[in-house]
Amino acid sequence: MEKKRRAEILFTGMFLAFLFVILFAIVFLPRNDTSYFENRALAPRPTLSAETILDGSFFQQVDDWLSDHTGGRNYLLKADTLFRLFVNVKLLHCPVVNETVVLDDMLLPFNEYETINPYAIEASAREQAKNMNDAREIVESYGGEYLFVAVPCQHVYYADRYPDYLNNRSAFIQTAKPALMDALAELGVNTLDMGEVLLRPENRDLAASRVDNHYTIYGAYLTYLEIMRVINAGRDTPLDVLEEGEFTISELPNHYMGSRTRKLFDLSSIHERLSILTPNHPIPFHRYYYGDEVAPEVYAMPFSPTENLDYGLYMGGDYMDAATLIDTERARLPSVMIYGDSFTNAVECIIYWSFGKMFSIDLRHYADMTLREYLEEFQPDYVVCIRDYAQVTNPTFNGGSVDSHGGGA
Amino acid sequence: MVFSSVSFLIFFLPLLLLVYYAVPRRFRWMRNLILLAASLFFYGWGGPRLLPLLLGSIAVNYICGLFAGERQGRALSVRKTAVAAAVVIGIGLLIVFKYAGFFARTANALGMPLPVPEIVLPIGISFFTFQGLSYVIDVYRGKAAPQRNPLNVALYISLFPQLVAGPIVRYETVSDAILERQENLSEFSDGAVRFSVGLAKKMLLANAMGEVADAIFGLWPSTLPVVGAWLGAIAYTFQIYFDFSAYSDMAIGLGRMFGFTFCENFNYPYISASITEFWRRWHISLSVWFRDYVYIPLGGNRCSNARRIRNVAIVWLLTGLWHGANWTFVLWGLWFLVLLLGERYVWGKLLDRLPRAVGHIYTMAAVILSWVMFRSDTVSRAFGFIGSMFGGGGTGWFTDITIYYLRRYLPELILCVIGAFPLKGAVVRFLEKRGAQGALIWLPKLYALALLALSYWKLAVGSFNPFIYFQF
Repeated sequence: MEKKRRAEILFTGMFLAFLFVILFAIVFLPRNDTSYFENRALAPRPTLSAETILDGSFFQQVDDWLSDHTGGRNYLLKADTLFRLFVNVKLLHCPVVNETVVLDDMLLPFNEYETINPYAIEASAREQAKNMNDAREIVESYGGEYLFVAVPCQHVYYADRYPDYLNNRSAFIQTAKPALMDALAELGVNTLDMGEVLLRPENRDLAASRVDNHYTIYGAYLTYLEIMRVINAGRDTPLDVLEEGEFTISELPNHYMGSRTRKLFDLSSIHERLSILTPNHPIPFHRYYYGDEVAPEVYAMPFSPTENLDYGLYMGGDYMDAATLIDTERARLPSVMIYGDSFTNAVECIIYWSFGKMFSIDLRHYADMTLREYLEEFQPDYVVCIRDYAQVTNPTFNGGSVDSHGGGA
Repeated sequence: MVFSSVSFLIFFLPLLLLVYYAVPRRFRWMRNLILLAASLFFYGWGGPRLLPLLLGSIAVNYICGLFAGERQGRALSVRKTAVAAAVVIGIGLLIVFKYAGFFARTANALGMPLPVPEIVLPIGISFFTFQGLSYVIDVYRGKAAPQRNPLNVALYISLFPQLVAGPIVRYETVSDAILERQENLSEFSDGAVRFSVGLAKKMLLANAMGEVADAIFGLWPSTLPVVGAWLGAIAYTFQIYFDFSAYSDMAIGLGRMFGFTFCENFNYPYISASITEFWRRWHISLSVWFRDYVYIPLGGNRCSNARRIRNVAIVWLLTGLWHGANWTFVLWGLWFLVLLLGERYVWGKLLDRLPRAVGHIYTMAAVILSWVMFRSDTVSRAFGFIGSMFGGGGTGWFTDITIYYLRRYLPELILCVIGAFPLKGAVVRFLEKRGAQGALIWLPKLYALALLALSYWKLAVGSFNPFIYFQF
């Protein structure tokens, strides 16, 4: 009886201690505002007001805040990833951890299983094509030219590397991409499918990242070359193009935190490095961000070799690239505008070299003007929209209506 | 607020325990007041706008309870009117908040255009309505005395451990405990063990199975291979059991931590060898409620076969509708009606003569099919899914999705199978035989602590955390 009572006292003490220690940790330990590995802002402190209490949003905010700031969360997330890397990959031979497919030499995205609905895909593709055609009509109304560029994302390069039972999205891509390209062709919009170049065996491993969704700087360079080929094909006097031998690609010594690497809390053994492309004859330029002049750089270079790098190296990332102007002050040259998702960033680091001005917006983040307003205001001579294969049925933001405002996120 | 949230586990529970046990036991009214305030806070957490509905339900049942009790000089008609008023208002609120949209949609489908009201379903309305009715009817039947203090009625109806997902506590079983319960270390410790086990069932098993079920039920039934469809159905079968029984475990455990003893709600239902046995083991408090407050008043078994069948049919139609305002739930109720009547009048005796394993396979097949109806959004989707389970999907036996989910969730699936069997009793008997008193005392406690830590780990890393039974 005495033993039982002693056990009950001890157990109750440990049970309560467990709860109170975590409570203490949440209340008193320092907190972060962002989660680096999750690449997102953590839930902000709840706003207390009569309105938020009555509509219940205050309590939802508290739940979110507590979930994001609970004691030891980061350690537990790392421990969970490590545990899953061992159990899922080694024991169960099911290499999916934190939405990432972990292979011997690369990290690919885990794609949810999906039912391919060709009618829905075609409808979305037609909607996006109509939006792009509207943009083209605006551009052509003032004498400019419009080009849509589709680029493969990581899982397209390595679709054959997925285990048979995982979804490599080939079925989706094979339905969605032709649907958009055909719809654009019907409307007379110029298109460029970079898959035809980047997926060639000699280019694939140079152009695709093994740890990130985006292409490498070399993949971006090949995209630039093709864009320039299309543009120059329609010109009497071709624009200068940065040819092989006229630039240097140099690998940075820093650790590259690719989007997949990051999802795995940098606990995988697969690593690669980021590179930058520097013209042998650099062109001086001014760079503007929302109209304010900023440092004339296209690469957000690290301060030290120990600093981690991510795809934000190119143009400083999506937020820095949301509304950018690069002015090389060569008025004789035409201007170019690049818009689209983050695949634009690496291309912009190169393409400004061939133009007088380069405008860039990302409508996921830029909300000051609609696309129509922006085009009519600045009237760039060439407008290039770059989107990846996975987004070809996403008629929102960069594929959205010319009259809708962007996300402003 | 849900039990498996950081808000509950790390803030609400420890702070409530601190405040509650800071008040000496002799101030029972004060402890009750703290529990009541905490329960209302718990309910209002999701949105205080629905709190008045709960308070209104409490007020109606309190007033009706006052008039439903036997008292010298009070006419029977007054008492009956009080019960009728409680039933009409309680069920009326349930119909308005839960079924108005369903009736309007059905009328529209039948060509009678009616506006479909946009009404938010208050959490736990089915549970607290039934508990309120239980109070008034028990008082009317003389099984308990009417409460003069409205706070005690409020505490009974809104007591947070069982407020939103049961078990449905009948008033007669806790009426004494509201005023005279004896909290003690032993009960608290056992309650904490039970709570931790429930939390782990939810966090480690139910949520994992939910991921499989959600993924497979999210696909078009026509694209599902046979094994994939069965895997989805089995995953949901485990999810609903480990989710719902986890909630009951946590409710029972929390009740004990505060000195209440709630009835058991589950007794390893998946070991049943007939549907009749299954319903003696599954959601026991609901079955007992319908038996005591609907089936027996309708005449129960003491009537002709025709009337008995009518009574059973009414109970199962209501049971189906109680679970949700959708034809899929009606279909689910009718499915069990057919099986139960079949066992009673057609194949029950044959089932008794067959080996128990055969009965078990028959029961589980019937139960798994029932959960497909329960989980599906529409009747046609339910039939489509069931069709795929028998090869109607046209995609063969296996596809990639089956292989992935079997590989990925194999450990959880194995644990679910093990957890569905009454191994605890076997282990206890084994230890008793060996005279391992130390192990008998410490094993459950260490097990509970380990499960608590693992559950917290899961809670901290996961965001997939919805409780299924909140929709009821």
